[in-house]
Amino acid sequence: MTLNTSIICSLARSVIIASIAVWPVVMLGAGIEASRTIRARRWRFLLAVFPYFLPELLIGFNYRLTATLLTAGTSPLTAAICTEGLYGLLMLSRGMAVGVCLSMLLPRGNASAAALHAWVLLRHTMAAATWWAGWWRLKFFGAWQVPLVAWSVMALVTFQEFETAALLQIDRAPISWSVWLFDAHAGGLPLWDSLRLMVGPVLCELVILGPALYMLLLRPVADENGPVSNDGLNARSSAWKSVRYAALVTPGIVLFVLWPLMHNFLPIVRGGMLLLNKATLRQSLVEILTSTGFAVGATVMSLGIALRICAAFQSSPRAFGSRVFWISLLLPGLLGSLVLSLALLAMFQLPGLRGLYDTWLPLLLGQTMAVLPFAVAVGLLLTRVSDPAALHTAKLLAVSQESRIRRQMATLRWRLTTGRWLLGGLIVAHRCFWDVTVASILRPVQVEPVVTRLYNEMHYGRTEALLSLAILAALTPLAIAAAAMLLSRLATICTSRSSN
Amino acid sequence: MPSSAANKITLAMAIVLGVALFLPWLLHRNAPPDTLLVLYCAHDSVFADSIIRQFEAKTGITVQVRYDEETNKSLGLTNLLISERAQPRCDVFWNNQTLGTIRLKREGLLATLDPAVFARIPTPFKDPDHQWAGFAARLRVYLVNTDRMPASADDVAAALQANSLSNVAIAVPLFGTTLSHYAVLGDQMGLAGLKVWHASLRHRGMREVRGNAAVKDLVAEGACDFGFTDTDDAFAAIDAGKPVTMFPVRLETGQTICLPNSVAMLHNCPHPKAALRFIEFLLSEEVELALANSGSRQIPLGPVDHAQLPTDVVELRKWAADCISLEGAAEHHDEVLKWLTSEYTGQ
Repeated sequence: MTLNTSIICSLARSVIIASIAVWPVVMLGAGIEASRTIRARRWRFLLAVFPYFLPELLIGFNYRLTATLLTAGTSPLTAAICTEGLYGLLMLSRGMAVGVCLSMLLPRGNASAAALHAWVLLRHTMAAATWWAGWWRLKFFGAWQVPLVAWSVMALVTFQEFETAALLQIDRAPISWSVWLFDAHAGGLPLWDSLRLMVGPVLCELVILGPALYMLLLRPVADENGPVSNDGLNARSSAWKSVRYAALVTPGIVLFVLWPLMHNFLPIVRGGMLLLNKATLRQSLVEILTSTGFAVGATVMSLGIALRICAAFQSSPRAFGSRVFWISLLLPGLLGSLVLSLALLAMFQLPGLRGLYDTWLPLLLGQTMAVLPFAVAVGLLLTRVSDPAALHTAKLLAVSQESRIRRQMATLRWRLTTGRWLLGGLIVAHRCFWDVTVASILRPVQVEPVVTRLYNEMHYGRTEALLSLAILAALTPLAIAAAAMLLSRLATICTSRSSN
Repeated sequence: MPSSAANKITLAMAIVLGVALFLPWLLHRNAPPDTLLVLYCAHDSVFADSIIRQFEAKTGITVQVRYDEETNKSLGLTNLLISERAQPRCDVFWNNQTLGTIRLKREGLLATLDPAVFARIPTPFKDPDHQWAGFAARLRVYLVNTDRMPASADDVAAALQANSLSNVAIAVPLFGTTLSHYAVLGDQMGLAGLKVWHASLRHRGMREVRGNAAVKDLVAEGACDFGFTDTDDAFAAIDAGKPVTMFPVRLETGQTICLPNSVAMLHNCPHPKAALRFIEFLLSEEVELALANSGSRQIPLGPVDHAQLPTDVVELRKWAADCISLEGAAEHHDEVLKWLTSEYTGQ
C-alpha cells in the first residue's frame, strides 16, 4: 500500500461521505427549525450535534471489538468491506453532526429566492454567458452556500480522521493516509521526510476546502446578516419534518450513545467502584486538572485570535490579501492534529527554538492552532447570532426600582453576554481537552495530560479502568465549568445589586 | 470589536502565555540537578509506576517520566530520542525490549558505564561495551481461546498449517515485540525465508491488528481462536477470567523468544548522577522480584531468591531457559524493519 493509494482511498471515502451527509444535514436543519419552542429547538440541535463531541478515542476503542467480531472467520475481502462499512457509518454520523453544527452557525446566503426568480425572468435580456455567470453567482452565494461550506468541512473532517481509523484497523482496512503516515514515521522515517510526504495530503485538503475558501474569500460582505431567522418556529413546523428529523438523528444516538452504553454498562459501574477505592484517584485528578488547565489556556488563546479573525471579516470590506492572511492562520488547524503536531515538533527542534522544546509552549501552541478553526466557528456563532434588542432591553430594565426585576434582568444579561461566552469557551475547551494527538506529541516531560494516560489504559485493554477514568475525565471539567458559570452569574447579580 | 474588549482579550492572552512560560520555571527553579531525573519509559505505566515511586521514596530524587502511549499514538520513544539528539532532555531510557536500545547504541546516543553497574546481569543479556543491560523479560506466546479450540501446543502447530488463518491474529509487525519477533525470524530464516513465511500468513488470511493488546482482546472475546502476543498481555486476559491459555512460541530449533526490558543512560544527559542511581536500582534483585510479582509477571534474568517468585513465573523461567540469543536478531533488525516499512507503506 503506497501513500498515493491510501490518499486516493481516503479522498474517495471523504467525498462519498460528505456527499451523502449533505442531504440529511439540510433535512436535520429543517427539522431543528421546525421545533415548536426554543427549548425543543435547543434539544434537537444538541441531539443532532452530539456525536461530534464524543472523543474519537473512546468511539474507536468501543468499536474496535465490534469490528473484529464483524470480521471474524470471514474472507479478507469481506473483512475489509465490514471494517470500511463500520468506519464509514461512524464517520457519516460524525460528519452529519459537523454539518448540522455549521448549517446552524453559518449565515444564510446573501441571494434570496426572490432574487433568483427575478434573474430567471431576465433570461432572454442578456447574453447567455453573462446570464449563466449571474445565475451561478446567485446560486453559489444563495441556496448552495451553506451546503457547500458544510460539504467542504465534513469532507475535511473525514479526510483528516486518524484515531478511529487506527483503532478499528484490521488487515489494513479502513485504509487511511493518516495511519499510513504515522506507520511510515514510526517505522523510522526521518521527521523531515514525513513532513515532505505531507505535501500530497495537504494539497488534497486544500482542494476539499476549495468551496469553503472560495466562499470566505469572495463572498460579498456589504450585506451582512443579522440574527438567525426565527421563521421556522411557527408556520413551517410540521409533523413530517419532525419524523424525518427523528429518523435521521436516531442512528447517531444509537451508534454514539446507546450501543456503547449498553455494551459497557457493567464495566463502567465496576470501573467506577475501582476508581473510588484506588489511591490513584489523586493522580488521576492531577492529570485531569493538567489537561483542563491546558485546555482553558488554549481556549483563551484560540478564542482571542478567533475574535480578531471574525472582526476582520465582519467589519468594513477587506482587501483580498487581508482575507488571505486571516485565512492562512486557520490552515495549520485545518490540516489536522497529526500534521500540525509533527510540524511543530520539527519547528521546536530548530536551533533558535530548541530552548523552548521542553516547555509548556509547544503543547499550548499546538492545541491553540489545532482548535482555531473550531474557535472561529464558535466565535462567529456568538457574535452573529446575538440579539442586541434583548440585551438592550435587559440593560434598561436592570435599573428598575424593583429588586426582583433587577435580579431577573441581571440574570438575563448574564445569559446574553458572559454565559454565552462561557458556554462557547466550554465547547472549544472540550475539543482541546480530548485532542490526544497534540498532547502525545508535544507535551513536555513534566506534565501528563489525562488523554495520554487514557491511551495507556487502552493499551492494556483495561476496559474498566479506562471507562471509569474517561468518565471522571469527562465530568471533572464539566463540574469546573458549571462552578465557574455559577460564580460568574452570582457575581453579575451581586454587581447589579450594588450598582443600584 | 470594541477596543475595550480587544484589550481585555489581549490581556487574557498575555496572561496565558506568561503562565505557560514562567510557571514551570517557578516550579522547578530551586530543584538541585542531582535530585531530578528524566526517564523515558516504554514499559507499561501501570507496572512501572510503583517501581519509580519506590525509587523516589528511597532516594529523594524526583523522577519525571514520559511513557510510551501505545503504537497508535506514540512516535516511538526511540525515534523521539534520536530526534532530540542535539539537546537530550532524557537521562535514562527504560525500554521494554532490547532492539530499540541497540539501535540507539548504533546511533551513538548511549553513555558507556562502569561494568560493575551491570555485574548482576548474566552476559547474554547485556551489552559487551557496557552501554545497556537487560532485565525482567517477557516471552512471545500463543494465546489460545480454550472455548474455541483444543488447548495444546500441537493443536496450535496444526492450526498454523491450515489453509485458512482467518481466525488467527497477529499485531502489525512494524512496532514493538512483534517487530522483535520478526527480527528473530529474519535471523533464523534469512530475509527471503521470512518474506515467504509472512506472505503465506497473509495469503491464508491471518488477521492483522494494531498491537498485542488488540490480539489479546480478539482471542479473549472469542473473535479469534488464537494469536501471537506477549506473556504480559496473556496474563491480563487470564487475570480477567477469560477462557484462555498460553504456549510459548518456539522456533524450528525448539528455542523460545525471550524479550528482556533494557536500561541505558543517554550520552550527555542532564542528570548523570541520578541516572546512575536509577540504573543501579532498576537492575537490583528487589526490582526484578517486584516486576515478577506484578501483574505482568516479568521473568528475572539475574540471580533472585526463588522462594519469592510466583508460581506463574517459575513456569515461565523454564520456557525462558530455552531462549534464543538476540544478538543475531539485533543484526537483522534494521534489514527487517526496512523491508516491513516497504511492505506496509511502499517506501
